[in-house]
Amino acid sequence: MYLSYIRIVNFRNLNDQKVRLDEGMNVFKGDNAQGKTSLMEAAACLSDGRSFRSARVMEMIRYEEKEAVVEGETVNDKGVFLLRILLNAKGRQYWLNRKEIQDLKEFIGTVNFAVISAEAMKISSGDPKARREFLDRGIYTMNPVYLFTLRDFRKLLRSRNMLLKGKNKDTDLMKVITDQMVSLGSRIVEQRVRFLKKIRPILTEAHKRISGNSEEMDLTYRSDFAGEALNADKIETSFHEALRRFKETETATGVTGAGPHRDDLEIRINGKDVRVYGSRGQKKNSVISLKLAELQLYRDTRGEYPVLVMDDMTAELDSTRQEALLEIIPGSVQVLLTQTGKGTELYGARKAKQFTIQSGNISEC
Amino acid sequence: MTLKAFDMLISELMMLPGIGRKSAQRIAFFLLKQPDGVLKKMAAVLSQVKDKIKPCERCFNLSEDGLCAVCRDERRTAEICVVQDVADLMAIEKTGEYSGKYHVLNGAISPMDGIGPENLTIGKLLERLDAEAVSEVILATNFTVEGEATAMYISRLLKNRRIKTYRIAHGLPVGGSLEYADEATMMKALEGKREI
Ligand SMILES: Nc1ncnc2c1ncn2[C@@H]1O[C@H](COP(=O)(O)OP(=O)(O)OP(=O)(O)O)[C@@H](O)[C@H]1O
Ligand SMILES: [Mg+2]
Ligand SMILES: [Zn+2]
Repeated sequence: MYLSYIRIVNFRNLNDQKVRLDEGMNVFKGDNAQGKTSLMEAAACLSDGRSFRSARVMEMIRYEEKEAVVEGETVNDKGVFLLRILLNAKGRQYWLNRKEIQDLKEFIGTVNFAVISAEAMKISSGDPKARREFLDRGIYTMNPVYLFTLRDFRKLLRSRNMLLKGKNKDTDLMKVITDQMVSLGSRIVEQRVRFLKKIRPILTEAHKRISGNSEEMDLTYRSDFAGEALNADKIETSFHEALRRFKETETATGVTGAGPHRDDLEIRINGKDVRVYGSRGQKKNSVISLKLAELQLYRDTRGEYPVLVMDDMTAELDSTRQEALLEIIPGSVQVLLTQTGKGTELYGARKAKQFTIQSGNISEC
Repeated sequence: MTLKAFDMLISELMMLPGIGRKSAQRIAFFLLKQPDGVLKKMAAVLSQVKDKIKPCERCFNLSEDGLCAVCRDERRTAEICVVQDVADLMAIEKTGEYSGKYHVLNGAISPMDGIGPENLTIGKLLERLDAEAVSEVILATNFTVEGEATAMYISRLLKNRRIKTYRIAHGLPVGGSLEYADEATMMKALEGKREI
């Protein structure tokens, strides 16, 4: 799939911009604070209305303005689609081919992105939340129904925490909510473990190429109750057991002690946890390998590549690594890449469509 | 120019679900064009509706007397179908396929929103099971987390009452193609498979 066209209105510092994109490589150059990341953010939000930079809709809307619009035309193996997202204080509204979409899962998957950005780097260095999001996003872009599983699980978790904190101990109600939460939570764990099983061999391979065959990269799901070998029923049993173990702390703290909301993903290079032992370069490389693997897995599952967004690569990688990366990216992947100022031209032998960004104005050069 | 009465009308109309300022304006203009009698009659209907229509004392369906039409109908069989709202009851009635009685819960359990069993008419349902000769209970709450929680909760309460309890089935829409069913619906449909 690729994005042939994007129009942005009042999104961060971009007031009204139209950009025709090449189906191959697109390079956006500009000094600091001109709008490069904003453009990448706007483009990538066409997948599900979400920003890779912030969770708050209002932050994406240009100062003093009430709403932002991102429109895009995407070409995928099913045809040409016109996407439109409106952001305002009430949230997000979606249109597909000029028809408003109420059910987000009918919108997701029309265009998808793999994003390498400063935020993505948190996957290998930040807290578990970033790694859970990597897993969950990877899953729901391929299987939008998973969004509902996540949403319902969060509801039940909040309900259960309410009951734990509450004075009125209705044991029947606690049992019902716990059973429901365990059932959905187990489905989340099962999906994550299944996703990992699929991505691991692809990842190991990708990382061999990124590291010049010198490193072995692998992943393990970390949970208080679920190991990789478990199926959904077994996960439910051990989830219940874990909650029984945590019973006393739960009563004291009023917080659910175990579940997919507390799980983590261990990323290892040559057997060692990257977050703990990795060098800065290894941390960055591991994220790039993860993103390349995500790209490949999406293609293996859905039959087409997502768009690859690489924000500020000059800041994240040295020139040799950048060249190595661009070598590895399959030729049929559309790439949106940003660079600061006068950085050297680091997109290898490919011919690229080039743009400059200045004070929120994008022009082709 | 300020038209106080007109603005007041618009703000009242905007209270209605799904009506924004534009639609409210359109409706207001329409109303203004009507002959006087039409509006007076409508106003009279509106002003009485809350006094006339009360929840049924037994099942919480809408009713104009103590008991609703369903509860008063002696031909109704001995099942109780438990629904979240009156709208659900009406949807089932429209099929004409169900001949039992109802019980309207007035919502679904959602501890997150501060809605517990005590905020619904579950207590009254249990009283009915003691007082009436009920053959079975059919739980027809929605297939949302809240609806499922409510169904599971009620079925727990009914377990030691030796009363047959059913959950309505859900699955693929009639006339729907399997290819377009989402995974969750498909999973549920498979769970509910039956021998033929
Ligand atoms: N909601 C907003 N409305 C208007 N301007 C905003 C908004 N959010 C951020 N900005 C500003 O937009 C400008 C462009 O930001 P952006 O992050 O896109 O820059 P950039 O080109 O990626 O810079 P760098 O090279 O430093 O990463 C900045 O001045 C930033 O402060
Ligand atoms: Mg930037
Ligand atoms: Zn009644």
